[in-house]
Amino acid sequence: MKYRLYDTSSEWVNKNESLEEHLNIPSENTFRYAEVSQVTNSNNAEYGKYIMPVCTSGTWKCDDQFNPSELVDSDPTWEKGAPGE
Amino acid sequence: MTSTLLTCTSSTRPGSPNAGDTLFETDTNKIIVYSGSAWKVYDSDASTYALDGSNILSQSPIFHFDAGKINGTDATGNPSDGSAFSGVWTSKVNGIKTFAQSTASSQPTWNSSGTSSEAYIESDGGDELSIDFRSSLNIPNSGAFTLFGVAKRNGSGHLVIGGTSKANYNIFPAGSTQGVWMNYNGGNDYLMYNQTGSDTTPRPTFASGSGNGSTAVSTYDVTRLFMVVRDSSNNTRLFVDGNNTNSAGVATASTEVLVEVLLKNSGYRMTGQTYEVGYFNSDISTADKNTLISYVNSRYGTGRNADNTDDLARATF
Repeated sequence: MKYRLYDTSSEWVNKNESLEEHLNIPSENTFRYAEVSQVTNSNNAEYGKYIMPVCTSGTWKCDDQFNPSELVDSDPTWEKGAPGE
Repeated sequence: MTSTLLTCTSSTRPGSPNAGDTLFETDTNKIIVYSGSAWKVYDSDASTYALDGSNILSQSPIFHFDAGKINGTDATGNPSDGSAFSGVWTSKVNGIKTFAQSTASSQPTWNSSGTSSEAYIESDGGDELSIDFRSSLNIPNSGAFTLFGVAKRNGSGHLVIGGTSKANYNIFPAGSTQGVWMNYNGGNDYLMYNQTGSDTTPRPTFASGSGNGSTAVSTYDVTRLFMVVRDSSNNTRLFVDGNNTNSAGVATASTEVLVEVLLKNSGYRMTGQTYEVGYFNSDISTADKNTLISYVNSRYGTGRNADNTDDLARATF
């Protein structure tokens, strides 16, 4: 799993809709591609950004829909209360 | 006068049964009766729990999820190999289920053959499976408990067993930072149970040397049995493949345990393979620990350490 961070909610929503169309979602037992979440740790440089998970393998693989240079790994300090805060 | 039932195993049940057909399963020690549409399973009145035909625990767990039996009974309900898992994972006891994951990017993948050709659920770090049993089974548990998992980390990510969801990880237990009971962190090379706050979290390390293999400290991506055990005095210990690794770092975690998720996609994100997860609302006996270890040995093979010179799942303490 990789991640793409967006500055605004509308950017995230538009990309999610685009991915759902690309992946034919909704389908049986699957109602959405992703659920919106934000970087909630105010000590993190990405604080406030919107997190889009990017599947890199399996049924929902869609990393080809992103610019590879914009994808990042997960960061456990995105969440408030993370170690190291 | 005695009569003897025909026998089978849970994986060799008759393919075209008739209503009323009754057999004894030799691997589970249970009697099964075909109702005309499904097998009904009957267990002993005693609270023993058969892990397989020869490894019998003296008590039954609250839940026991087995990736090889997604429906909690047999392999008939298993998904297709390599597919995103959008269904329900049912415990082998008490009927406890996970919620179906309807968000594509949070669905784990079910795989039919991993260690010793056994099935597993794979999480890429973005997946979450939640369970809800608190109302009916008196959980969260503020006393003794045993949580075990058979799992394998992938790459350098986290291996996590038990925890709370993104919504609750700062709530259960109070003071926890990431809401996990066992985290296997490759970046820092430590094992921990993060329940007493990050400042006082014990960080036991693998014992090395005789009996544990020279590579035990640095070998992480093998399938292992993990047991987190808390006694009635809140002394909490971590056992890995049968070895108590933290004799110098026993925690005194007194917070409630809430195993809300089997996989989590916040904070310490599970990146690896989960074969089994089980939970008891007591600190199981040494004999039961050894039985569990013997079962894991039998099912997943011994000598799973990288150097293949030691049986890491050995049944001695």
